[in-house]
Amino acid sequence: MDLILQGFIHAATLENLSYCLLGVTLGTFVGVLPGIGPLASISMLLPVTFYLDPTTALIMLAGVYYGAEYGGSITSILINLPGGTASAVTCLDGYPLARQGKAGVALFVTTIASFVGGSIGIIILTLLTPLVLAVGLAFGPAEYVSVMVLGLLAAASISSDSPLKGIGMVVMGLLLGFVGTDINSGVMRYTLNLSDLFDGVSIVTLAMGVFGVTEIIDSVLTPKGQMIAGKIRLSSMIPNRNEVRRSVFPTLRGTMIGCLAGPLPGVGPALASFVSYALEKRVARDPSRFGKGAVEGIASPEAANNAAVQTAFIPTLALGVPGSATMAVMMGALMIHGIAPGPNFIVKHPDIFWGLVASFWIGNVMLLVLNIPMIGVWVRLLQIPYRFLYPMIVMFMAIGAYSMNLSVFDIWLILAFGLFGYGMRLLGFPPAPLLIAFILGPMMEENFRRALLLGGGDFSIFILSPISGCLLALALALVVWFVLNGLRRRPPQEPDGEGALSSAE
Amino acid sequence: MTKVKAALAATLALAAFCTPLTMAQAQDSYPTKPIRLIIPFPPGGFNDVVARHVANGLSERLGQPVVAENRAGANGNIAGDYVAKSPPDGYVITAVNLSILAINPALYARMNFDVLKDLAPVAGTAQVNNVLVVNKNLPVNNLAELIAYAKQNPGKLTFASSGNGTSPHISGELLKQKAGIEAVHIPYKSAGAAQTDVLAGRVSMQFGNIPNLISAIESGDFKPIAVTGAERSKLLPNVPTFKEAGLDMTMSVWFGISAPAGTPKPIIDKLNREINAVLESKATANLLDPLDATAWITTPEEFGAFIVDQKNLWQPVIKASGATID
Repeated sequence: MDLILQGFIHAATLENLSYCLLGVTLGTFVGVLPGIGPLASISMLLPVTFYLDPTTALIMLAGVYYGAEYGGSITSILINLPGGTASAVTCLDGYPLARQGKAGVALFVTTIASFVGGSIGIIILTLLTPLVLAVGLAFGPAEYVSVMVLGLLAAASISSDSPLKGIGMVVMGLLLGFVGTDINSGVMRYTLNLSDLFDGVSIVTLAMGVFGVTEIIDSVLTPKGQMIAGKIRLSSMIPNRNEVRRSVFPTLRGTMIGCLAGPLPGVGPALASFVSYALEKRVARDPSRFGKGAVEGIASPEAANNAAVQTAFIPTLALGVPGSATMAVMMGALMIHGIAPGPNFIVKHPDIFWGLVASFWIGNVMLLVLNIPMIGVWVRLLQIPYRFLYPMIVMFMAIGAYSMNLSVFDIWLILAFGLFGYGMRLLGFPPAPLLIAFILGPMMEENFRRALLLGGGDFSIFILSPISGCLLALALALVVWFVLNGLRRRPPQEPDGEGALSSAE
Repeated sequence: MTKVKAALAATLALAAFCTPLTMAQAQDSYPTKPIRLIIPFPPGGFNDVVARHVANGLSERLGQPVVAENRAGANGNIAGDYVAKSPPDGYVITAVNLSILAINPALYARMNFDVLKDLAPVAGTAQVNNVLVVNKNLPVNNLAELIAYAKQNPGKLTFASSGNGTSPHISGELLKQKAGIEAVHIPYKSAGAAQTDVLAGRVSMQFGNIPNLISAIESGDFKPIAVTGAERSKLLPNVPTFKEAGLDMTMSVWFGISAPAGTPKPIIDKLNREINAVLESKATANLLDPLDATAWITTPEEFGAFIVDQKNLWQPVIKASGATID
């Protein structure tokens, strides 16, 4: 307790507070700009941190990181353009809400849900680091495969009226994920001998294409008219009682999933938001509302991804094992100061660890304070006539795509994915399962083969590991339940999942 | 027709006469515009940190901005190809390392450029050594015990790396060949992911950067076996080198700067002088010491000869390991 208190004292110096504010503000803006993710901005800021105290440096970089996670949901809701993978889910119901003139409500709900998710994530980070760490270490290749099987199942059921179309997009995503150099054998797959494809397709390119460009093509070809921006008064942003009631439990469930998924390297926030959305859809009294502006559909994934963003720091700081490229850059910032994150980090540098944890919370409060008044400004963005707004967005997407690898090829790729996405939209194929399968597929394959390498080619490793076995059993149960539910539901449209709802609550 | 020919000949003659003159002028005043330093790896890693530091130092010394640009991909081959095909005027230079110049040519079935013919060495920048660590539950404490264990339990040892052709991978292959032991290579996508499975004991051992692993060594989660350098590491004074531990195996991970082949010698020499001045500065020591790296002062010729040596050294190791990227 003393340590936490000292952490707050350390974090609350004027210098640290201003860098925290700088970080979250910058992060929010970076999140709003399509394609320029936290990785690029943190890398650009890295040289600045040579001259800062290590705690201050990390506080600022971390602020950019979770600020961007929040900012990404703003464009998801307003213009159907996810800032990152995790916020792609927020598009599904956030954008329909905005089209109904409820952009303010949607942004308000995501702000609060993000804050709750983030805060609980920090509490977990504070109290349960050793426990979460143990769970993280218990996850080997076999366990990853099983948890991803579960994730893919969730993805297939996520947003489609037709499960077959969902599965179709999952398969498409898996195929796109194969593009590039196979890490086990070094074989180039589907690269068409183009060196730009040797490292595969970037998730940012795919997301901007199938969401952003598709949306723009769609609205140019079938004008829907200017969106109703609504009156920008506080009263128009506050959700009504029904909406509040409907977001409380999804927020908490999302937080729980986020805290668990966060420490999983590479997939944390994205997996958390997809799985929590799928869960909400399953437990809802009326799943048909999802995809048409259900508040649950934004509250839960937002809470989940922000909680995951916080708990993702656990393996980085406590093991010295960065879960993502962004985390690796942040760890680099510490190592330049001669501080090595790892098992000894919390003991050797308690001031940095607790100062950072305290700054997370301060940063989340700042995001709240910063963003509630900003909602009006963001919503006003929608009043910009589309003939100005869309060319601007296209320009930002092109800059974002180019800035990743300084490659013009990526800009063409976005356009290609946009056309592809538009075709899919005309045929009624959902883009979200494509995206999650694209992320999970390659990781699943990688871990599957690694598990077999380690197990000497014996498949029993997936069942004999207790965690993996349980997860696979759960996946099997889910499949059986889907099938039974599908069979039972076919003739009359009876509401399903009531039992699940009461038990989950 | 003859008129045209004559005109053409005159123009060519004029051009031939003028070119050395303008080039000589260009070399005297070089640089007159910003220089781009291509970094073939994503931001944040050791390659990036050192290259950016050199870029900053050069900017101050040359009076023209040296702009660092990350062009990651294909283990550095994308950037290598790009720079190899850039104009050789000293305004595009690239950070290079062990992977691009000495490993990739043996690893990749196809290379779009020739590392020796298409890139001209400018200067080495830094060297860093790896350490071999094993999981704390593996019943070995030193190199002799590790080798004995491997021979008694064939097929049991595994080693993790951050991918095919990375320095942890080829260090492991070199160890296998020098010690005559077997160990299954388990590739990961990043050093972090590899480390997790070694920490958890699913994989027996790994090579890696000392700063990355030191915390886990101090906490006792990893047992250090030996360091790959010619001398012991300042961060791990109690850990022997491989040579001291009885195995004739020395390797370092090295970094440098190259330019497109054909870049005029005076420009290369000037860059070499200025880079070395940056490397000798206090700021460089402040940056490299905590990373357990040492600044590396070379002439372009020394750096070039070193590259050829390294290419010849690694080629057979990689061929024998069977690793390939096709």
